[in-house]
Amino acid sequence: MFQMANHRGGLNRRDLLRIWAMGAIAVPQVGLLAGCSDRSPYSDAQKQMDLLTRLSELVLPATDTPGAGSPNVTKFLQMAIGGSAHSVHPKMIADIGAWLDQAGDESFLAQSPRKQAESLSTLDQITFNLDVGSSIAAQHAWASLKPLIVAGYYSSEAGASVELIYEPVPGRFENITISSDYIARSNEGHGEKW
Amino acid sequence: MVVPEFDAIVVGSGITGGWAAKELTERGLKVLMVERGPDVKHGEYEKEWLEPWNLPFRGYGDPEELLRTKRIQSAARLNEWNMDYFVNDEVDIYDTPEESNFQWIRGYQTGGRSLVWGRQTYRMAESYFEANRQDGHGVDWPIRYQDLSRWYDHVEEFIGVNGSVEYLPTAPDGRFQPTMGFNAGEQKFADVITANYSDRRLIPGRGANLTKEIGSRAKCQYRNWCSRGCSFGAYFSTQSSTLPAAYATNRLTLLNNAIVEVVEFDPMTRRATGVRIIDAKTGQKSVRSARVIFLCAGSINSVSILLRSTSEAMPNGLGNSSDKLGRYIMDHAYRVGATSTIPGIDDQMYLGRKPNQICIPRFVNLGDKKGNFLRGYSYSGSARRLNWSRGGATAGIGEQLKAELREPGPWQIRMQAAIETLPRESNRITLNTSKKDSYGLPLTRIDLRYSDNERIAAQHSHSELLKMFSLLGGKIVQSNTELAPPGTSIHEMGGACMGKDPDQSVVNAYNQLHDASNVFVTDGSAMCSTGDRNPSLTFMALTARAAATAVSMLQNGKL
Repeated sequence: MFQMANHRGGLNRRDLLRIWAMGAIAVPQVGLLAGCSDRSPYSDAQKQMDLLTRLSELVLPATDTPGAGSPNVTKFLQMAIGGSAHSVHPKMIADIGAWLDQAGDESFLAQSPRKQAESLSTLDQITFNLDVGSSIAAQHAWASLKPLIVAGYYSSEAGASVELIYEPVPGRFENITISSDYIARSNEGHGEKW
Repeated sequence: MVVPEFDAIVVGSGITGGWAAKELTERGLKVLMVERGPDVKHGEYEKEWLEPWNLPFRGYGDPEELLRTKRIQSAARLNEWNMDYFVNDEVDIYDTPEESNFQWIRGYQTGGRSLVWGRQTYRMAESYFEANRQDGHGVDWPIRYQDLSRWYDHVEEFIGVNGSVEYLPTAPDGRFQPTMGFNAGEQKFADVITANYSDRRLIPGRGANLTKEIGSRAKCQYRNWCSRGCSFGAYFSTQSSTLPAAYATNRLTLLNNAIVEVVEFDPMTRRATGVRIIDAKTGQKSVRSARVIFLCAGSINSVSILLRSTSEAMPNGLGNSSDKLGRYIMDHAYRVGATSTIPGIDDQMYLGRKPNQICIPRFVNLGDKKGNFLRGYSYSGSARRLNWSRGGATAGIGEQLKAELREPGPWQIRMQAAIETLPRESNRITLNTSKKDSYGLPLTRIDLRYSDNERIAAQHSHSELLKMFSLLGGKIVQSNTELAPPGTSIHEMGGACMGKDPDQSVVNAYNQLHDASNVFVTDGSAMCSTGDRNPSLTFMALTARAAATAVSMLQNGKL
C-alpha cells in the first residue's frame, strides 16, 4: 500500500502564489472547458466516480485503519453531489479534475501516486493556506468537496468506529487531562453541517 | 342543558399542554388533550439509536428534501435524526410580510417542541415584571415574581432542573439538581470574567436534563442526542414527564391528528362550550365539549384559534373585544455574537457530551446605570474542542491529516446574545382571510419587526463580548453583528397579553380571557414582556398556576 505523508510538495508561500497566479490567468479557459459537459474529460459518470474515489483515498488514506477510498464513502459522495440543493455539483468535480490534469501535465488518474499526491496537495494548500480568495473554479470546488470527503469518511462505520471511537452512551461528563493514548470520539461531529 | 363531555379540553400537547393536562387531571378533572399532529410515544423514538452509517444520508438529511420541506425549519438545530419532529414547510404554510420575514419554527406531534427544545430553563427576574410599567412599553404585568415563585418551585421540582446557586438578581436561583458545571474552556472564560469584572459573571446554564433520577426517569447519559427523543427520560418533555403523570390518573384522553379550528362560544352564558375540530387525515369536523378550555397550542397557534373564533358576539375573534388580540408579539432577537479560540489549555479535554450551555446573565441597564437603549440582553453559548470536521476546512491531506484528526482540535468558545424585544402594538398576528391552507383555514399572518432599540442593544452586546473575549488571549474566528430574522430564537411570545384592564389586554392575572372566563390561555401568548432568558419555565409555571385556579373556581362554583 502506498504510504503517503502529508504533502506540501516542498513548496513555499511564494511558489504557491506563483502557481495560484498561473492558474488564475491560464485556467479560466480550462474552467470553461470543464463547464462544457460534452467536452470535459470528467463528464463521464464513471470517470467522476474514479476521480472521487482517488481523491478520497489521497485525503484520508488507508493506514492501520481503512481509508476513505472505499465504496461506502464514494456512495455517500454520489448522494451528496447534485443540483441546486447540494453544496457540490458535478461541474465542480470536473473543474477539480481539469485543474489536477493541468497541474500534473497529464490526466490525473494516469499520474503516479506520488504525483497525484503533489498535485492535490498543491490545490489543497492554495485553497486553504493562501488568503487569496477562491478566484479559480477548482479552488472553490475543492473548498466544497473536501468537507464532503471528510464527512463521508467520519460518518462511515470505518471512520466513526474503527479509526475513531464511536461512543453512543458516555454515561458521564468528566474533565480530563489528555493522555498519549487518547483517541477522539466521532460522535460530536455527526449531523452538523459539513 | 347539554352536559359537557369533559371537564376540560387542553389544546396542544407541548410544553404547556402537557402541564395543563397533568395539573388538571391530578386535581380531579376529566381532560381531553387535543393534539394536531400524530402520536410519538415515549421510548419509541424511531431514530434515537441509529448510527450515522445506518441513516440514508448519514445524519445530514436529504439536501433536496430539506430545501423543499424544511427551508424555514432549518433555522433550528435540524439533522436527520430529529427532522421529522419539525413541520413540513410545504404543507404548514403561513404568511409574513417581507419586512418581517418571521421564521415560524414548530413541530406538530405529541410533545410538540418539548421533544426538540434546547432545555435551557430560567426563572424570569423579579425586576423584569416591572419593565413595562417603568418604561411604558407594553401592558403592565398584572402579576409579579412573588405570584409565580412557588409555581416555579413546583415546576422545577417536578421536571428536574440542573443548575448552580449564584445569587444573581437577573437569574433568580431555583430548586436545582446538581449543576453540570463547566468544561475547561468555559472555566477559563469564567475565571477571566471574574478577575476583570465585578458586575457580571459566567455561570453554568440551567437546564432540564437530570443530574439526579426522578422516579423512573434516569440521569442524563451525556449523549447530547436529546432532540432525537430520549428513552432514558433524562430531559423534560411531555412524553417523559407530564404525560405519564396525567395518564396515571386515568382521567386523560389524548386525541391526535386533530386540529382545533375554533373555540365555540355561547353568547348567552358568555362562556366557551367546546372546540370544533378538523380531523387532519380525513378533513371531517366534529365538536367536543367541556366546562373549561385551556389553550396551550403555542403562542401563534393559540392566538390564531382565537382570531378564527368569530361570532356575532365576537366579530373580531374570541377574547378580542379590546382589539388587543394578536398584538404585542415579541421574541428574543438572536444570533449576534462571536467565537474565539482559547489558548493555553490544549492538554485539557472532556469525556461525555454535555447537553447544556453557559450563560452570562444580564448586567446592563440595572439600577442607576442606564445605557442608550432600554432593557437588555444576556448571553448563552458553549466551549468545545473542534472535532474531525475541521479536517474539511483546513489544509492538509494524507496520513498526517488522519493522525491529526485522531486528536481533539483547538478549543473554541462561542457566545451569542439574547436581546429583549420591546412590546409594540404594531407587532401583531392577524389572519389572511384571502388565502387558505390545506385544511381550509385562513393563513396566520405574523408581522414582528425589530426596532432601533434591539439593534442598538445588539451592537452593545457585540462590543462587550469582544472585550470579554479579548481577555482570553485568543483569536476571533467568527463574528456577527446582524440580528437573525424574527422567530429564529423559537421564543415567540405575546398576542394574548395579560393585564388588569380588559380594554388593554386579552387575559387577566390568572390567564383567563377577559371575555370568556372559562378559557385559559397559558402558553407564551400571555406574556407581557420577554425578559432575556429562555421563557419556557415561566410558561410552565403560569400554566400550573392557572390550572390550580381553574379547578378551584370550578369547585367553588365560580366557573
